[in-house]
Amino acid sequence: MTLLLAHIGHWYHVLLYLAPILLIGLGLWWSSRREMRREREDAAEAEQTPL
Amino acid sequence: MIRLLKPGLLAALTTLAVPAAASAHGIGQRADLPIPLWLFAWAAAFVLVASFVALSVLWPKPVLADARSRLLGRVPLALEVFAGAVGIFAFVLIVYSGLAGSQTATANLAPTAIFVLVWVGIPFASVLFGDVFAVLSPWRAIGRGVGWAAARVGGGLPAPINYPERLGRWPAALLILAFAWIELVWSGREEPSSLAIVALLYAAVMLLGMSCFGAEKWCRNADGFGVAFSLFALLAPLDWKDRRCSLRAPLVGALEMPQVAGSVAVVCVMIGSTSFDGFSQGTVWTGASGLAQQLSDLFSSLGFAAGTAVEAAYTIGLLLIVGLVSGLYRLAVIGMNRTGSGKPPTPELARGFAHTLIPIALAYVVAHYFSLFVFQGQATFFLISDPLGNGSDVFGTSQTAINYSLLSANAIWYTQVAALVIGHVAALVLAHDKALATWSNPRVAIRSQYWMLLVMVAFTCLGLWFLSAAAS
Repeated sequence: MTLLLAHIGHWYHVLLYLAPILLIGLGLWWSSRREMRREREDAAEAEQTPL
Repeated sequence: MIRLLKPGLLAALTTLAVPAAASAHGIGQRADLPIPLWLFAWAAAFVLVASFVALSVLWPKPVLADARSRLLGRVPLALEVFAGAVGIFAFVLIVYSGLAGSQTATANLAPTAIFVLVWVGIPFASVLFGDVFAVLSPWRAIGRGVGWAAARVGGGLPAPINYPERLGRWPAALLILAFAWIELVWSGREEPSSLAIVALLYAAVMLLGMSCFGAEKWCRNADGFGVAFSLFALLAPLDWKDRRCSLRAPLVGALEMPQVAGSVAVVCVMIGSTSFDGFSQGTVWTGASGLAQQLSDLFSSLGFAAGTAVEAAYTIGLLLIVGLVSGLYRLAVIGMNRTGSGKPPTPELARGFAHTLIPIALAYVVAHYFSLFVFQGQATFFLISDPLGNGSDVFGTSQTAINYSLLSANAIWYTQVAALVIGHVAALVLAHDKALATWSNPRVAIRSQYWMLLVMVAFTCLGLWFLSAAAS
């Protein structure tokens, strides 16, 4: 761990380039889940609505 | 623990606060940029997300497939014959220069002609004017000439063997990879005579393949240069077909990319090899304890000679980066397939969306080779007067020199970033339009492109990291 931190100057910049990918990935995953839940709710509502 | 962290954090924060310096491909200048390099990756990611949202709202139906082109005129046969003759003459000149001329790479026409004028110049010309290599290709011109002569003299050539459909464009993908290996790995790339011999071997393979499978079929599938340049030409506003020249809307041509076996491999090799060129200039690869050194040491310990160990290390690096690019695209396709409940199947989707990678391949070529083309391209003026490097002065330009002040390092950096961002936005547009055509439900289509967006952001950040690594 100490060795890893001592060389932080060599690798921290990789994290800076990786961060937007991780953030956008997280955002898309959350958005996708929300949309699918909404679609399921819409489908359930449509089933319950009397003709 | 805090005491241990402090110096590292302090160093990191200081570096982040200081404006970045970047140098461009092939020159020693350094750019003074107002913001750190990594912030460009964040800005590029933001542009991609904003473009994606705008496409989702403003582009509800597929439109590219229905776009019409406008006929501009017909091209005389004589022009095609002339261009073919120019291509053959240029090929003979390059090979002769390599074999008979000076063996100093910078004094001989062959290396600059092959690595700069052909490999970088023709993609630029193709994007502007269409498939110029199709008419300049020396082997295609010879093949067509032989076919024409045989028809006039002896009633035509025997029917060619059927080209195996399963082979598709795999031979082209392998030949592009082989050329990338020669350009980035092979120690003999600096010797003009070795390059000339490789060029002759390539021409021999092309002529043999054309004689077996027919000139058109072979050139469309197995000529690495022809296939790569024809893909860039799909982005051109000019479309040349059956000696007719038409004007088409931007990006529409990309939809014409043949969906055959190996078509995905071709673009992944193109992107991966250019990426490795950038990556192999960075400290992560070339540093004193970098990956190249560690791999070379490993191969040396296995008994490889020093030069062979370095070549083996670079070969592995090249294959790994090509594999990384292929893996990222595969990830996007698998994600799309899952979003679309398994339909269409993954292989079909992979080929169907392969054309979206063409603008990215172009973006990487511009980002990595733009400065090389601008600076080393100027060497053509003195090399064309003295192609053998023996002191001749055919056109009176042998005393001209390369003007390195033509472009500032800042201008090069901004061009590189702009190329990467525009290329990836264009790829998003193509993928969005294709998704709307693939899935009837627009909500599913847009959700399927979440994966593509993520991979595009990954490609952009990766490309900018490689460029910044080359600058450090």
